[in-house]
Amino acid sequence: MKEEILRIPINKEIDVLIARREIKGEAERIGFRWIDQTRIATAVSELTRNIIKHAYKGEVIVNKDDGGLEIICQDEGPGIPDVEQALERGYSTTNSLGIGLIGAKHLMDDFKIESNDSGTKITTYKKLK
Amino acid sequence: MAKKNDKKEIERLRRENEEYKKLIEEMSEGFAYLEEDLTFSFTNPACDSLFGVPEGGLMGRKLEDFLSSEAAKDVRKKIRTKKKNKKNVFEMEIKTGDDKRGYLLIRSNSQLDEKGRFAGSFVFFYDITKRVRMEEELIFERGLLDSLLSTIPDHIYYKDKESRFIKVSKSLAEWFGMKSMDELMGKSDFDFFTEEHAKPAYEDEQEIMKTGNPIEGKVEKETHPDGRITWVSTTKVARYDKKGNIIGILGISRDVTEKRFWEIEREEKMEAQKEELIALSTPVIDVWEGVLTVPILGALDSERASRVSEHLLTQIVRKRAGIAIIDISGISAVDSAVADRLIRTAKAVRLVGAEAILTGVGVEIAQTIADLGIDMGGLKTMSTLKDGLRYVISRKKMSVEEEKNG
Amino acid sequence: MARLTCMHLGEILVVPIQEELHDTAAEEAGEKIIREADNSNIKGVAIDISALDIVDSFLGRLLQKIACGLRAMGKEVILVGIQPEVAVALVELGLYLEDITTAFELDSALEKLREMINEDSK
Repeated sequence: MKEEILRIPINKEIDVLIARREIKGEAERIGFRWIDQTRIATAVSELTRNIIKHAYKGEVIVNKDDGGLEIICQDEGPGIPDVEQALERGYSTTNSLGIGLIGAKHLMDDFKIESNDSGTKITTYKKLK
Repeated sequence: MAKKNDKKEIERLRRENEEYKKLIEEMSEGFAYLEEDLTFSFTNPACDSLFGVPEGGLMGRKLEDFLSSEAAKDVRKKIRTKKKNKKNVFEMEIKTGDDKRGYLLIRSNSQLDEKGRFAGSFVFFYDITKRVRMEEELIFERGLLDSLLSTIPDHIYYKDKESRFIKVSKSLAEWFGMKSMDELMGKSDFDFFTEEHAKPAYEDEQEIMKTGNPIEGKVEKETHPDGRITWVSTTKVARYDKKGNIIGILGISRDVTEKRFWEIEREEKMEAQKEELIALSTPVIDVWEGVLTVPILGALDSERASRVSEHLLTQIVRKRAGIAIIDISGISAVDSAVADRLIRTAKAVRLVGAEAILTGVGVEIAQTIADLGIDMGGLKTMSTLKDGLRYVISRKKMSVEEEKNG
Repeated sequence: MARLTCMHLGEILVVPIQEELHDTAAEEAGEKIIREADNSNIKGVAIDISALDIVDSFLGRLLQKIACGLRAMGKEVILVGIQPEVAVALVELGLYLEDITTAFELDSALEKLREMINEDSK
């Protein structure tokens, strides 16, 4: 039974802070360990920053189910030209987009990107342990 | 001339008589004439057999011979009543042998004398033994069912094809807060549970009635409109009519809420124990002031590494430790993944402001690290815990006295 | 504008970061730290982030840049109060901040910083 618990618009820089704070609070309420709360908050920070920097406008949707938390970041930006390449690069790159994506991928349990020139949707999942 | 007519008349009467006699002889119902004192003075063969005697054996015997004394009184009263224009019909139980019993329906037509007193009776006897026996059995079984339904703590319910209640146990009526079992008639699960339980239960029953396959021992969560939640173990089977058609279901649900509660408690306790065990299996030991040691035993998968990190880091901050010695002499295997996790843990230790030292890196492990070309990233490694402690001493510039003791 | 109160303790500049900073505010804060430290009296800077429970890759790399800038100016740098969960997240992001000295509280941080400054003057 999946239910939507948060939907936060990401339009200004400060929304990054708001989103990660709100979602960290939810994670705590649901019962995630502090370490996972931080991972989730950091991942949200990375992904929403990407929205501000590259797509200018988007939103975060948080869904809860019995197994954990699903966090979807989507925007109507120009899309990521080469998703695979962006994910492959290591930390030595100066491309902040790639760093943000890789970082979020490591912090969350599931990670999926759908991107084309009308927008990007990143679906992540953290299991409640 | 009169003689000839008379002869014909007599012949006719004789023939009629013969016919009536035949009729009475051959009919299956018992027919008898009882005298004023209820002695048999005429019986047909059927009557003889009903009373279990050979032909003619009833002659001169009294009806009360075949009745218990109480029944005799009752029957005597009933036969000796002349009801005007009303057929005198009643049932009686007779003893036809030592332990043989039968039931007869009596149709009595009393005869009165010129003074209006009872003089005797024409009686028809019908054997109703079978019917009475069946009725008795039915009442007996009904009694069994009713006592079952009113005393058994399990919830028993008979439902029709639309899953509406037909008959239920008292315990179920009470479970729903109803005063009597009749109040449930025609209602269904939807009247007493929220849809969360009622819907799947209904679907189960419809499936049973479609396929004939029963459900046995299914643990279900009952959701009540007042918010109450209970757990039951349910068995449901299809009900059939005599022709073998499915006409409903019979179900029995046993309350296992307490059991479930304990199960959940136990599961939670086991989780807590598991956590404790994990914490125990990687104990963080105070070696000296400001020095912590964590021996890692067994396998180090990513889940475990994560927990070790958390535990270690929290302890470092809490105890204000400056050095964390991670001993891996008890670790089962070191591959690049494990090495990677160890390095990450060490780096996190450094970020928090302490120094991490890896000990227990024996010859084999050193070889594996070299073979795999793992870059330990500047992490200090020592082959034994002792070496690690010695290093710590020199770092902390401990006094010679303490070194002697250590 | 980021409200940042830097404290001068002799030769050491202590910068406590008390609140969450979004990207632009963080960069401004970084600039302010560099400006304040650009003073011949200051030999070392302690940046205290013990109040932060979330540090992401942007802030992590910004801290690295600030430390780099300060060292380029000849100042010693120490990062104070990285919380355990922040440490784990940073490590998982691959940000090891290896060229920055760390301490988990201000007392030991100041001690370490003084040691480092003394080393320099030798």
